[in-house]
Amino acid sequence: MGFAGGPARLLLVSILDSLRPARGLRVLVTAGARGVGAAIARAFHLAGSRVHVCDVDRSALDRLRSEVPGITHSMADVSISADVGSVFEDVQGALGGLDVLIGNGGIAGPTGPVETIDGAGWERTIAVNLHSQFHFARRAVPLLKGSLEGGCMVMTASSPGETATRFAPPRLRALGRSSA
Amino acid sequence: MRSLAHELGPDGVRVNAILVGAGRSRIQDKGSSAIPYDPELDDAAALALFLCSPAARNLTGQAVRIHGLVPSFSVPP
Repeated sequence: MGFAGGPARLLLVSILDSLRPARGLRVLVTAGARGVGAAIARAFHLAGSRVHVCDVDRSALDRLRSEVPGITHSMADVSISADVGSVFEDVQGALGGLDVLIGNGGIAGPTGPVETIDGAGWERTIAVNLHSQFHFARRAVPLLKGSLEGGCMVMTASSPGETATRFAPPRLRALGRSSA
Repeated sequence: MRSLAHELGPDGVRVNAILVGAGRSRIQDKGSSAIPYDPELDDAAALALFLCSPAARNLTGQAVRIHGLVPSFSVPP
């Protein structure tokens, strides 16, 4: 045994290998047609995963499809439960299951003194940023539990999002913490 | 996120969050940034790959900040 011996060298190689996701992972990226979502989708694709993305932006989906033909996609508004249901039908068809859910859907929403924020903007923000996480989680969890690789959920959030949940009443922050 | 991590852990499902930077310049104005690099999209992509790799098999319920800020730390004036 030693730092330069055979067993240690083999161990190091296996550690380095373990830093990559297993090849062939089935990955769903929400809001995956541009920005952080697209960067994550492309990275998994390069790592040998099978990647499906959904997004509300049709032209961004078309751009991603032309640039990375191997990635399949659905058009969906993540705040609408029926849309999310359709995404999972597409995921079953394209991937036949799921190992990884990247919950990236989110909008910045209105910011400012509370008396200047209109109700529609508030409700839209909560629907896209919070309800969507629930719509995806409840459908993804049964598939992730069946993953032979060990299912994985990763949510992304921005710093302003973090701040917004701090600003919001404690009950909302607790809800965000528990589901997002 | 933490309650899901707790609920799903026994089934081998891990749940984590990536807190990406946005509005970094505003935060920098407060003088609390510790890292001089601007965040890039691939920072989030690299962390996502790691979180879903076998090396992270015991990592769950974590919210990882990748915006260069030290959590809960204010630089004295």
